Order: sequence, then structure tokens, then C-alpha cells
Amino acid sequence: MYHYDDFDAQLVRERVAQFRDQVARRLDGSLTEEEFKPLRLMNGLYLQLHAYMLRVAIPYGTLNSRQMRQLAMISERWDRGYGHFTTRQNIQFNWPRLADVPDMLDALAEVEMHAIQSSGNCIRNVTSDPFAGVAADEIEDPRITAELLRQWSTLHPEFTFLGRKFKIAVSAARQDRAAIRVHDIGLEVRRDAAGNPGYRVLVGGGQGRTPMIAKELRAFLPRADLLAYLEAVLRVYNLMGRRDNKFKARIKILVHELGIERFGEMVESEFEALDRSEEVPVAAEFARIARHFAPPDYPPAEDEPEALDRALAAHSDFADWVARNGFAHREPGYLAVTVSLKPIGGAPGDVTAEQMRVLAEAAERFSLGELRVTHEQNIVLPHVRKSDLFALWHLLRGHGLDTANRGLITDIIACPGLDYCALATARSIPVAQAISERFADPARQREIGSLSIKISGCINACGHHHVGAIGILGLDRAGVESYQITLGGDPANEASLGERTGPGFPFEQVPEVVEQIVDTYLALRMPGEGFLQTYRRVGMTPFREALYAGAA
Amino acid sequence: MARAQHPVILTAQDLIEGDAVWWTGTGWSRNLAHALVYNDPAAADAAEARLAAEESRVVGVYRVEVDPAPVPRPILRREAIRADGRPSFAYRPQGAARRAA
Amino acid sequence: MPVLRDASGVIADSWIRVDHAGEIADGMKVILPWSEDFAPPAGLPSFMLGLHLPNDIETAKVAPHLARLGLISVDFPSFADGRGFSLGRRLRNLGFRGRLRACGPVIADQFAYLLACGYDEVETPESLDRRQPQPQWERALRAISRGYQPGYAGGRSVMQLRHQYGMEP
Repeated sequence: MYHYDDFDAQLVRERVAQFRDQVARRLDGSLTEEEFKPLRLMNGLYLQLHAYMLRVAIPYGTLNSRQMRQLAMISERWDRGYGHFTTRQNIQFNWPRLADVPDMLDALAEVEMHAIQSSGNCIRNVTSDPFAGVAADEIEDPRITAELLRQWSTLHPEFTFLGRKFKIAVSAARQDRAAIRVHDIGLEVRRDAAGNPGYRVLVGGGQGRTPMIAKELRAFLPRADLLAYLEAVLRVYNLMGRRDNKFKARIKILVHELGIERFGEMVESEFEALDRSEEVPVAAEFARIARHFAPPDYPPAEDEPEALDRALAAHSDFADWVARNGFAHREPGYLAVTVSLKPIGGAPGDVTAEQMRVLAEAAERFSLGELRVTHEQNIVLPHVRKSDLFALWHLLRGHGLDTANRGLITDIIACPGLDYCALATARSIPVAQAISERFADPARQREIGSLSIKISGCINACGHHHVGAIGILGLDRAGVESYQITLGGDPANEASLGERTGPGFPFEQVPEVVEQIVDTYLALRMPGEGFLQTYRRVGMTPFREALYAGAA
Repeated sequence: MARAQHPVILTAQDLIEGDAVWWTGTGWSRNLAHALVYNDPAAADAAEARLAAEESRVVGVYRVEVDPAPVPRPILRREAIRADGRPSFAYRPQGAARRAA
Repeated sequence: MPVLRDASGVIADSWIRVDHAGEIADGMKVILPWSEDFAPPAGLPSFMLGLHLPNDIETAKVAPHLARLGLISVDFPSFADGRGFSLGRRLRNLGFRGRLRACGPVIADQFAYLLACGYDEVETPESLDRRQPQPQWERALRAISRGYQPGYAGGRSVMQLRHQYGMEP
């Protein structure tokens, strides 16, 4: 994985000192709250319902054991001993004091981490495939591009006071595991007919109040033009994007209002006119970064170790866990393993400091020191020798980290919702907990099969409800929570936005509603069909009938 | 914004700690029981405007509708959760501690 | 009175803002407001002519006049409205070589970004200066030694230093 050179380290250190100064200037009145707010946000610091919240960037979701241990230390020293992994592959601490935040940032800088641009109207943490460097269907490691963009977007002089936040995701595999179609810019690594590397560029996707699937801006952009082209896109957006209405300020609205052709012409003409005399060849910087992402030296491993077969046969819980949470590794003898942060009845994505240390230990002993955070709010140990799986499982099992539910109905994505978030209109985590408990039986979960439930506690859609097979959106209706249900959302290659079933339901009814949806699906599915396939075949009608049969 | 039938109290967040504080009529308190209850909307308006304009150690002054007795209790769920100072579920996983509320 | 500063510190403003060309007196360096029918007044040399632009101007409209302007002042209606950063870059990109001024309630924390985007100077309201006096602006310029972005820092960006000069920090 990437390691800072002295330039990177110096910049992060200086940013911490700058933020420390900004905090002091807020306290002495040099900065008003109105002025300080965007400055703290672009350094990851929110003021939430109960307290400040610090969102730490985990660029493209990759971290090492040492960093995970430091996160545990930070959570104990300056917070309440736990953290929350988010749908943007970041981690949030929910209880810091303003005056402590500069020290927390110093502690992060010690392990090459920061909170830069994890919020604010700027280019956010670049996200990518949690199985980067592992998946067999990958053209190259997408994190090389993501790291290049992290650096390019960091403290960008021109694009730090945009009309709204700006999110970029990178995929380099045939299967999109980075949801690039619901980002402001989605990049898909490709090669042209001659084999030259470049990108398919998508623009204008997003969730929130007006969800949209991204449109193609360029079928193929040569790698050498990547940074210049993004500069052109961002400049057109910064100058032309709406500033009159926060809810219409994302690039998706600009693209929608201008049309993709007109928007594309404006970008191309900006791009043509750029002064590129001072440009550094992208290939050189790409090659420098790529060295950091060279495949690790995999210790030799047996592809079908006999001991594993014996353990699988002897322990059905273990066998279920391997079958469910394992992900094929391209290196023979290895497997990538998802550590579910969705125990039955738990708060999705929450981990204690103790669990963080266990994860760090697990990575150190069994995954070449590396971990990934997924946008499903789970952790991936990317490089586990098959012969180590049983020992790993034992370690995780002792700390409540062995839930075998990756992709199942209890692997629920949920935003913090009304329990933490100042913007929320309804509770989100308690809904997830109630559904999880309702479907606690592992056999029943397996029978239902892959089914993503995503819950947002307000229209901003941090819980990605638009792209949940079952999406749940909590709203406030005259002081009472009401939950709208959508069906058929999908963030991947066949990206689609969920369709609303009809009127919303009260908090208490949501688990029952999910049950009715599931029962309807089970009754209609053909052999081998998943929920989305069945839904796409039969449409909304039978579900609507099941849910609203008694109504009106 | 406030519906006429409920009295209101004024709240904000402490600039340094970030937690909820309540206007007592003479200062900001962390104790909800000490909040000054306004039955007169005009008086609440005036106090809110004055406090919001003041350069002070709190952020984001706004009003909360309450049932006034025996101690003020916010009507809306959001405000009730906020007044409790913690999520509505057992949020802190086992073994977590240090900076307790 | 507004405060004008550049990278060297607080400076005197030798330019006078006027509403229309009729107010121009001999020897005055003037800043005229933008209007759709703007044309550089005849006889006024470029080093004496400035133009104040709103931040939503179509740059194509002002492009033909750039060579006749000694100064462009760009309006920043609020510090949070960052259009002026891109407008500055675009004006430089179009070949404007005169003085470029950011005008409005921008804050010290934005000073370095403004300079990196091609601005020379910043004109802020007097009330802001009481909260953010000159030392804060000087400190803000020193806060980050070098950014990553090539082309924004006069050859001193990290990416340029890494690859064109082979330098270590």
C-alpha cells in the first residue's frame, strides 16, 4: 500500500498545524462560526446532535495494522472507545471535544492518516473497490489512480470552495464494486484498441434528494490527460453549477439541466484551452505510485490444504462463514475474507477499540498486515492463506466478529440517523437492529439469499437507500417518523434506482413490511433467482399488492 | 416555527464541548431542568434573536417545544434524543469507556 | 476603508473605482464596473484602466478586452462562493497579464489559494481586518509549504519537484 514520502508527510503535518491555528482563531474570535464551519468541515469535523464528530479519511478504504491500532488508541484517548465505519470507507468518532481535535489529527499523522476533505464543499475522499489487488477480474489496481487523485485533489487551490461536495470513485474491474455510477465522477480503468491505458469517464451520478445514474462523458480518456481533464470538468462545474439552491448544486443537476452533450462540449472546450505548460507527465507520477501497490510477496500457500478440509467438515459454523464471507483471491492458496460488522442486533459499522485491535492483530497474523473498509460498512482482510482460515475464524469468533452474513439480509447498511446526526429526520440504526433481529436465524437468511437492505435517516441518502434491493428512507411527517420503501435498487454494473412501493410506514411496522416483501419474493422466485432478478421479472405489482392489500 | 400550543425553551451547543446547553435566563446550563420556559412566543423570539447575535461560547441557538412540567421535556423525538445527550439505543459497545458522558 | 494587500503586505490602493467613463479625470487609474456594452475608453492606456467583474461573467465577453486592461477586480460576494477561484485561473489561461484582484469578504485562510489561482492582491472590508489583521494573512501564506497541483504554484508543486527537479523536501 501507499507510504508517504517526505512531501506527503510534511503537507499533512502542516495541515494539522494550520487547523490547530484555525481552532485557536475560532476561540479568540478571529474567525466567526460562519467562517470556521467550512474550514472545520473540510477537515472532517462536524457539529452533530450531541457533540462534534470527526470523520477520518481512509483513502480508497485501505489501511494497515498499525493504523488500525492507532484508531483504537484515538477512540479510547479522546472519544468513547469505539468508532463507526461509514459508507464512504471512512471512520467516524462521535464524541471528540473541539480543543482535542488537533491532537487527534497529530496522532493520525503519526500513522500517515488525516481527515482532510472528508467533508465540506470540496473533492472528497476518493473511493474504490475493496477487493483491489485481489479480484481476478481486475485490469490493474484501481488504488494507483485513486491515490493519484487523492494527492491531486488535496488542498486544491481552485476547487476547495465548490458549490457542493464532489465525490469520485474508481473501478478497474469488470464487476463494479465501487458504485461508480452513483458518483459525481466515476472512472473505469480501460485500455484502448492499442492497449494504452485510460479511463471511461462517467459524470453526474449521485443519490440524495435527486438520485441519478451517471452518464458517459468520455468513452476513453488517455491516462496522460486524466488530471487536466478533471481540472476542466471541475472548472466548468465550479463556474456553471448552481449556487442558488443547496439541493440543486451538485454536478448531476448541472449535467441534467445542460444535457450531457452540451456539458461535454463545454468540458472539451475548457480542456482544449488549458495551459498545460507546467504539467507533470501523469505516467511518471502513476509509475511512482504504482510501485507502492506492487503485489505483496505472498508466502507460499497450498491451494487445497488438507487441514482446511478437515476443519470445514468438522465445524459447520466455520464452513458457513468461509462460504459466505470468502471472496476468491487471484493468488492460489489465498482467500479474501469479509469481517462482518453487522452482528445480529448491532449498530452497523460500529467497532470497539478492542475489536479494532483484534482486527489489527488478525491483519498482522493472517493478512500481510493489510485491511480494507468496504462501503457496505464491513472490513476485508484481503490476503488470507487458506491454511490460516480456521485460526483466523477462532480469533474473530472470540470477539463477536465472526458473523457469516456478507450480502445477506442482515448485512444492512445504515447511516447514523436521528440518534447522532443533526440533519436526520428519522432513526436509522434502530430500524436496522429490529430487522436484523427479525431475520436472525442463519438458515432463514441463507434461504433468502443475497439481499441488500440500505437505510437512510433523511433525504441526503448517506445510507444509499436508492441503490438498496430494499431501500428504506426515514422521513418526518408532522413530528412522526415515516419510512418510505423502495425496491430494485442496484449500485453495480446494471445500476438502477429503487422504485417506491407507495405510502410510508411507521417505525414499528418496518420489520413486518420487510418480512412481507421477502415472503412475496420467496413465493415468486424461480430456481436460482436472486431478489433483484425476481423483482426485475415480476415488477412492483405483486409487492405492492402484498404491502397495501388491506389498505384503503 | 413554534406551534402556539407548546411553551418553548432555548438551546444551543457548547463551542468547545459540542454538547447541548440550555438557556436559564441568565446563562447557559447543561441541566435541562434549569431551562427557562417561555410561554410567551414574543419573549422567546426576542431572547433567541439576542442570543443568536451575541458573540459567545455557544453555537446554533434555536428553540425547542416542550411539555413544561415537572421538568421541561421536548415534544419532538429528535429533541428528546438530543436532550438525553446520547443515542436512543445501547450505543456504546462493551468494553468502551474513557471519555464517559 | 477597505484594506488592500498582496504577498508583500498591506499596500496603498492607487486605483479609483468609478461608476462610468464620464467620471474619469486626467491621470486617474480607474476601475470601471462591467456592463454588457463595456468598451475601453479611448485614449486611456491599459495601465490606467481596470475592470470589475461579477463572478458569473461569461469570460468570452471580456476576453477581447484583456489586452487593454491593467487590472481586473473579481467580485467575491461571500468567502464561500468559490467561483472567483476558477474565474481567476481562466482569465490567466486566456492570457491576462495585468494585476488581478479579489474583492470581497474573503478570509485569510484563502489567501494562498487566491495567489495560486493567479490573483496578485486582495481587497477586503475594513470590518474583517479588525478580526483578521495582517499577521494572520502572513501566517496563512506560510501554513502549507507546497501543494501537489502542478501549474498552481510557480513550479514549486510537489508533483513538479518530484519529477522535474528530482528534489527531496
